[in-house]
Amino acid sequence: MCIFFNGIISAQDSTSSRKFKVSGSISVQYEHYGLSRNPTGWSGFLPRKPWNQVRFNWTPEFQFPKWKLPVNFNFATTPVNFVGPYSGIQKQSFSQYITNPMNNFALNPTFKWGEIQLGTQYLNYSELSTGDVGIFGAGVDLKPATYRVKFFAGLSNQAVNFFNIPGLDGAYRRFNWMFQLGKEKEGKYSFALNFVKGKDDINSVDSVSPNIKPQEGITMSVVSKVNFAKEWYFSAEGAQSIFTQDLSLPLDSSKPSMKPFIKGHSTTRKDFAAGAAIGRKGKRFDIGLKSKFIGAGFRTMGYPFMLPDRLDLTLNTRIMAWKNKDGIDRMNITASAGQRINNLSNNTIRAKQFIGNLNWFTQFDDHWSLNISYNNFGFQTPSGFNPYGIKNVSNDLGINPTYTFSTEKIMHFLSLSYNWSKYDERDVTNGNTSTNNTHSVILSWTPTFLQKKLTPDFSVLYFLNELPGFRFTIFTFSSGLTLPEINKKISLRAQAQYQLSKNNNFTKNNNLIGSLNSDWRLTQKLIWNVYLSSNHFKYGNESAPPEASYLETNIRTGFQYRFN
Amino acid sequence: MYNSVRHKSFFMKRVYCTALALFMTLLLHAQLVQTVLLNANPPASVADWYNKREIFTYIVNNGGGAPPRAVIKAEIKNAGGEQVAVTNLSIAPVYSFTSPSTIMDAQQVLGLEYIVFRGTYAASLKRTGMLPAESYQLCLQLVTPVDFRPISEVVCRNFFLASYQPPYPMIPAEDAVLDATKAQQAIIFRWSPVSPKPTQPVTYELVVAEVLPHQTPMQAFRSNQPLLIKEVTGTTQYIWTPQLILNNGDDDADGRPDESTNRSVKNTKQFVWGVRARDNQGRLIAQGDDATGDGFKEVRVFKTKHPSEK
Repeated sequence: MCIFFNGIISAQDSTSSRKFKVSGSISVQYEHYGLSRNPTGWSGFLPRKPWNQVRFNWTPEFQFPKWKLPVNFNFATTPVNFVGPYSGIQKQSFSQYITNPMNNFALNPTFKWGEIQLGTQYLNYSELSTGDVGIFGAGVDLKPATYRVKFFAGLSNQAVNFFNIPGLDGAYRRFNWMFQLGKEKEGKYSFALNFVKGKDDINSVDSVSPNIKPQEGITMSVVSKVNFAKEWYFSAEGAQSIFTQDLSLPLDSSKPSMKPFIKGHSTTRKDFAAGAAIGRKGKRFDIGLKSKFIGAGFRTMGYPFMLPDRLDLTLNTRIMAWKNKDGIDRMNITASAGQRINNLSNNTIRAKQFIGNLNWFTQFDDHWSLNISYNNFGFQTPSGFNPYGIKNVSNDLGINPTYTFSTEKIMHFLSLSYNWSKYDERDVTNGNTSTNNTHSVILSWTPTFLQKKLTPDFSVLYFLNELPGFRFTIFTFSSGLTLPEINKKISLRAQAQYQLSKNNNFTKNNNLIGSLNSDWRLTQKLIWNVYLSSNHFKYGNESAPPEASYLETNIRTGFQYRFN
Repeated sequence: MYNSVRHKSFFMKRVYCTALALFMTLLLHAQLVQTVLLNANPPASVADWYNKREIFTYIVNNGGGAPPRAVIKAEIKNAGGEQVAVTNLSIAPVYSFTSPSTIMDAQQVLGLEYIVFRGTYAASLKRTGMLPAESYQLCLQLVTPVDFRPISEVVCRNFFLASYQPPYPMIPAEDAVLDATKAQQAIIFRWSPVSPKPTQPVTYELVVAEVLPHQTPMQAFRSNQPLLIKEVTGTTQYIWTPQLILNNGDDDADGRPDESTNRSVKNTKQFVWGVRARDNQGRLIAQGDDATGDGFKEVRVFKTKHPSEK
C-alpha cells in the first residue's frame, strides 16, 4: 500500500515534468437488483444477483523512467461465492476477504528484466503444473538474458469453518508455492522445469464437512517449445504428481514420497500426465495436432478443475482463400476434429467422445456473405453393467446469409439465420433412442443512418423444440437503438424485447424486457455510466399457481476515470 | 425290548448332547453379532468411504458373556473369488466391544494402514488411489487378538465399484462465440452423461455465471452469483431462455474500449459454465478427491457478440 500511495503521489507530482506517465483506469460502480414476485414469496424464480453491490476496479499503471508499477485492485463489498470454499459465507474475516477469489489486490513493480509479484496473482506456468488458481502472496519473475526464474508462495485459501449451512462445507487453509527454472529465446525456443506444491494446514479449522479432506500434492513438470522452419512449432510437457488425498490418515512408508517435500500417507499416490502439440501457423493456412493424457491418479494443486483419467486428441485447421482485387481473402474456413477417451484406465467402462466442427465463411462481394457452421459430437460407452451402453449424438447445422447495401444516407445490414439442432440420447435400460429436435429462424435488419449517427436494429425470431410428447415454441420481436454521440458527450443504447413462449398445451407465457445504457463523458477522461433494465415475465397456466409473474429490475451506475 | 429301549435312550442322549453342543456353540458365536451396511455402489476410492455412514456402517452387538476384545478381519474378493485384500491381523487395532451395541465406520474397519492389497490391485491403488471397476465381495469376521481364533460368524456383502466419470460441458464449446441476438432468445446447453450410467436416476446441476470485467473465467465461476442454477434429471440437455439483454452496449469482459473508435460500446459478454451431478440421495457423484469438494471437474467459457461486431 505504501508503494501504491507513494506511486500515486509521485505520479501527481511529476506529471508536468513528463518523466513518467500513468495509463489504465480506475472505476467504482454501484449495482442494485430488485425482484418482486407474484404471488409474494413464490419460489418459482430466484434472485440472480445480490440486492446491492459496490465494485471497485483500480488498474492504473505508473510508468517511471526506469521502472513501472502496474496495480490491479478489483474488489467488491458483498460476497456472493457459489462454488468453492467461500460459497455461502456472508461475514468474512479480513484474511478471508483478501484471499476470496472475488477480490484481487495485486502490485507488480517491474524493473527491466525483473518483476516482483505481490498480492493476488493468477500465474500460469504450464498446462499441467499451475495456471487456474489465485494465490495471495509474494514472488518474483526474473528474465535475465535467456534465463527464466520464477518463484511465488502464498495462500490460495484461508481457513473456513463448517457451520452445517447448505453449500458451506468449510475449508482448510492452503499454502501453495511454485518454482520455475528455464531458458527462453522469444520466438525461437523455451524450456522450463516446474515445481508446484500445495498443502492444507490440518489444524487451521475447528470443523469441516466430511466431504472436505486435508490434502497435499506436489507436481513436477518439464515443458518445452520450439519454433522451426519459419512457421512450424512443436511443444511438449511431461508431468508427475504425488498426491495425498487425506492428510489426516497415518504416514505409510510403502506409499510414494519425495522427502523432504512430501511424505507418503496411506492415501498417497503417484501418477503422470503428458501433452504434446505440433503444427504450422501461417498467414493463410494453419494446422495443428494436439494431444493430452491425464493419468487416473494425477492431481495438481495448480488446476483445481482438471478431469483425470483421459486422453484427448485434437486436429485443428484454418484456411483462408479466394483473394479479391484488393488482395483480401474472401473465404475463411476453420475446422477441428477431436476425440476424448474417458475412464481410460478401465476397459470395462471406457467412454469415447468424438467432436467435429466446421465454420465456413465466404464474402462473395461487397453485398453478400454466407456463413455455414456444422458441429457434431458423439459420446459412447460399452454397456458395462447396463443392458445397453450410453450413446448420445449431437448434430448442429447453421446457415447464415447476410446482405449489406448503402444509399446516400443509410447503410442497411440484413441477416437471416437458420439453425437446426438434433440430439439423440439412448436409454441404457431398453435401448430406445429419444430424439430432440430444435429449429430456429431469425431475421435481423440494422439500418445505420450515416449523417445522423443513429443506428436502430430490428429482429424477429421463431424457435421450436420438439421431442416425443413435448413441444416448446418461442416467438420474439426485439428492437434496439444506438446513438453513439450526442453533443460529443453522451452515447445511448436502448433495447426492448417482447417474447411469447409456449409449452405443450399450456397457455402462452409473456415476457417483456427493456434496457437503457448511457455513457456521459463528463470530462475528457471521466465517464459516468448509467444502466437500467427491467424484465417482466408472466406465466400462462403452466406455473403453480397459474399465471404467476415476476419483475426483475437492475440499476447500475458508476464512474470511470481513464488516465490516458 | 429292553435293549431296544436302552438303545433308544442312548440315542436320545446323544441327540440331546449334540443339540446342546450346537446350541452352546451358536450361542457363544451369536453373542457377538455383526451387522454390515454397505452401499451397493460405493466410491472407487476406499478412502472416500471414511466418515460416511451412508456408505459403510459396521455394528457389533454383544449379547453378554462374549470376550469383549477382538480384531476385525476383513477380506475383499473379486467376482472370480481371487483375494484382493486382507487385514494384516498382527498390526490391526484391537477393539473392546463392551457396550451392547458398537457402531463403527469404514476408517475403523478398513484402515488402509493395515489392509494389505494384492498384486495388480495394490499397483492400481498406488497409482490411482482407486480399485478397478468390477464386482467385489467384502467379508468381515471378529477374531481373538492374540491367536486370531474366530469368535463370530463371517458376514459378507457384495458391491460394485465404478469410478464414475462426472459430467463435463460439451456445448457451447470452449471459447465459442454466439450471436448475441440469437443467444438472447435461447441457448442450448449439452454435457456428457455420468459414465458408466448409475442404476439410479442422476440429477444434473447446470451453473452459468457472467465473467465481469477484470475477472478470469475461473475467478468468475468461483466468486460470482450464478445467473442460472438449473437442476435437470435424466437428460443431458437444457434450453435456457436467459431473459437478459446481451446487446446492451457493455464493455467486453476485458473492460477495454473499442480500439478503433475508443468507444466503450462493444456488445460483447463473456460467460462461464459448468455442470455437476447428484445421485438420488442428493450426494455429489465423483466428488472424491477434487480440490474444492464441489463436484465440478471442468468449466467452459463462451462469448456472445452482436453479429455486426467484427
